[in-house]
Amino acid sequence: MTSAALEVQEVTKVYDTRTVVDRLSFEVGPGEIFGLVGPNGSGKTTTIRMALDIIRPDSGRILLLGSEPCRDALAKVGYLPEERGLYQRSKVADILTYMGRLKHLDSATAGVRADEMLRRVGLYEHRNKKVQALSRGMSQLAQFAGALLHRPDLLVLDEPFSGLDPLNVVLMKEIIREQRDRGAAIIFSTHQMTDVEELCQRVLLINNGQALLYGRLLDLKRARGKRSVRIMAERQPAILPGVVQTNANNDVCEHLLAEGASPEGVLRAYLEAGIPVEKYEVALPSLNEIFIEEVRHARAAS
Amino acid sequence: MPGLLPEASIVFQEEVRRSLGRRSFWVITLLVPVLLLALLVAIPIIRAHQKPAEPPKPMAVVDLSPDLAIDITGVPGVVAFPSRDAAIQALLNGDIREAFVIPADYLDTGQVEWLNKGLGLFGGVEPGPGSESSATLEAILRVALAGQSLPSQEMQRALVPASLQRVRLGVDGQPVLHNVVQELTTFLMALAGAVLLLFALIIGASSLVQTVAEEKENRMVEVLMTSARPISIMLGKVAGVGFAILLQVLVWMVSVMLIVPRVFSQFPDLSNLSLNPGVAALVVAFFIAGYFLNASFTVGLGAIVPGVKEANQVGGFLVLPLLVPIYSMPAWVAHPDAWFARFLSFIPFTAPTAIMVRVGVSSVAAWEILLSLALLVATGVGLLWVSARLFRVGMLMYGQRMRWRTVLAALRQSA
Repeated sequence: MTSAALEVQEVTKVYDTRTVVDRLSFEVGPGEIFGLVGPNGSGKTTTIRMALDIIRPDSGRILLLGSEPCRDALAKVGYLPEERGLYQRSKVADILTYMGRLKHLDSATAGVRADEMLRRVGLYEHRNKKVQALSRGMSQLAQFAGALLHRPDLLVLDEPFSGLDPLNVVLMKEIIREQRDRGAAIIFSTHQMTDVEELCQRVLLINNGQALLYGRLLDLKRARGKRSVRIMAERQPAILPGVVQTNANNDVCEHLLAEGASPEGVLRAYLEAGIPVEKYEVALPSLNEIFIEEVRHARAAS
Repeated sequence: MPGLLPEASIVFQEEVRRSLGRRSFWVITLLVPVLLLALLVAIPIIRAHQKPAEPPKPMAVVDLSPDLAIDITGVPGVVAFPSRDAAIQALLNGDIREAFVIPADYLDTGQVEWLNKGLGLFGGVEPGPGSESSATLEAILRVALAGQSLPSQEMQRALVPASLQRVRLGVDGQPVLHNVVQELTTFLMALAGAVLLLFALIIGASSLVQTVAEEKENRMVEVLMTSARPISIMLGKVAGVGFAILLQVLVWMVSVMLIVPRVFSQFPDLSNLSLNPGVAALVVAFFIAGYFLNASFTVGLGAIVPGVKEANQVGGFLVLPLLVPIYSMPAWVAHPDAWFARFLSFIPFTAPTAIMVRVGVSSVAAWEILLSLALLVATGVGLLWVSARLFRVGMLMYGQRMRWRTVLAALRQSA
């Protein structure tokens, strides 16, 4: 018996001769938003499908809500797949009720919850419309609502924000945090690093089905040892001590520091050159930088 | 934890709701009653505008009884013949429409022979003499009986003057032994069963393949598969679409039962048609088993094909095996128990229509029917098992065709 919502132990999946997931291990605890990060084709979706018993691993072990993936455990899981869609000619409320019933809610409860969730995502007025009459974003929100109807203990979201406008992204993030706060474990699979940095406490970075990095996001960043300095100024000084690389983005320059270099030395160089500094920030490397560097290293090594 | 059946029941209810929610379903369902009602209204109108029919041919009476003195003088539409052979000849020549032969032992038996000329299996229905002919004959016999000095016991004959022995003559003037009414109703029922099955499968196969392929295309299947076992999903789908089709067939049958007798009542000769319960049970059993087999196969196929477009193409081919017994009927209808007809009866994909058509034209041994049904059901269960395994793997292969190696690997997995 384990307290983890999901435990993946040394899991491998091979299609024909291609190893899609290779001895992957991680776990996700209740009340956390866990980032499953990797480039396209890295094995994220296959890992999720194995965790949810949609496909079976060739080796390794999966524990879902404390047991082997079984119908009881799966009834407590909400899933928003990457490739989304609903029955186009059915009414929104009918589909949500059906999804709730499949998760062991009785008809009446499923209907009430469907109304509640449609209100929460702002689609209540559209409840009697056919799905084909909704925009892509609305249809996506409806499916998201359907995944939450039975108040799952584990919520698996595969690229949940793709195709959503910024307002709906904010709404969905709010709801995801609400789910975390009520104790649900959330797996958030994406390659949008900024969203992961905003939402997740822990991450697993995978490439070619193998784990590259796994752990607390802050620990991973600190462990990199590299720091950078972000400075907003009109221009740069000619000489910047200890800076190995500069990325300019509008008026903000991000200076990556060499091992042992001091951030204060960079600020001093600006001031000594008589350049007014509007903003100064010492930053840990972003997840995006870590992601790109790790994947490049892995590809170069292979 | 809900078992297989409760899960399947939820999928079943959803499939029924979606099937019955389609406008096309109700258009097809109501087409038959609407057409029959139109026929009911149209027939009297058409008949009212028809030209007056030619005067009917006379009926003949042959009196071979030594105890009666039948006199038809002044009876309109009745002619007398001295012998049975002369009446048969007149019947074959088309001079008379029917003949009643009163045999020598009439007073002892009360039997009268009714001769008519059969028009063949597809030529029409002649189940018995018309009510006018029967009344005329009875009147003639009563008058003849009353005119004799007969003992009171034999006078009782006048109460029920004739028990008819019906004889249908072939083209050679020899009696044909078959019961044409039973043959015709059996044939019509069996053929109607085969046609209904074909309709149901065309609609059902197309509906099932589309449903499965649509779920594959819109990725709804991934959500379904985290909520129910593939076998439950498939069972629910097969039963749900099947229920909608059965409902459709039921509406057609009820409208036929309610409206067709009223249509037939306008044609007196058709009034004696009746259902044969044995054949009806056989048609229903093969209808359900045939649907189950094809639906199980269809769902598996829907999981394998890449998308809705390919699914539509495949769906059309699924009913082809069922057409084989009907299209090849001219080749074996004269020998319905020959090896080819039997062979078709034991191949599950051709068996439903083969058995229905064979029962329609001959009597098929009970063991053959039971064996055919058993093979049909067993193959259906086997195909459902295979389809459930293909479903899990095939449904995730969007836009891809499954390789044989993948199919074999899928069959080795548990569903």
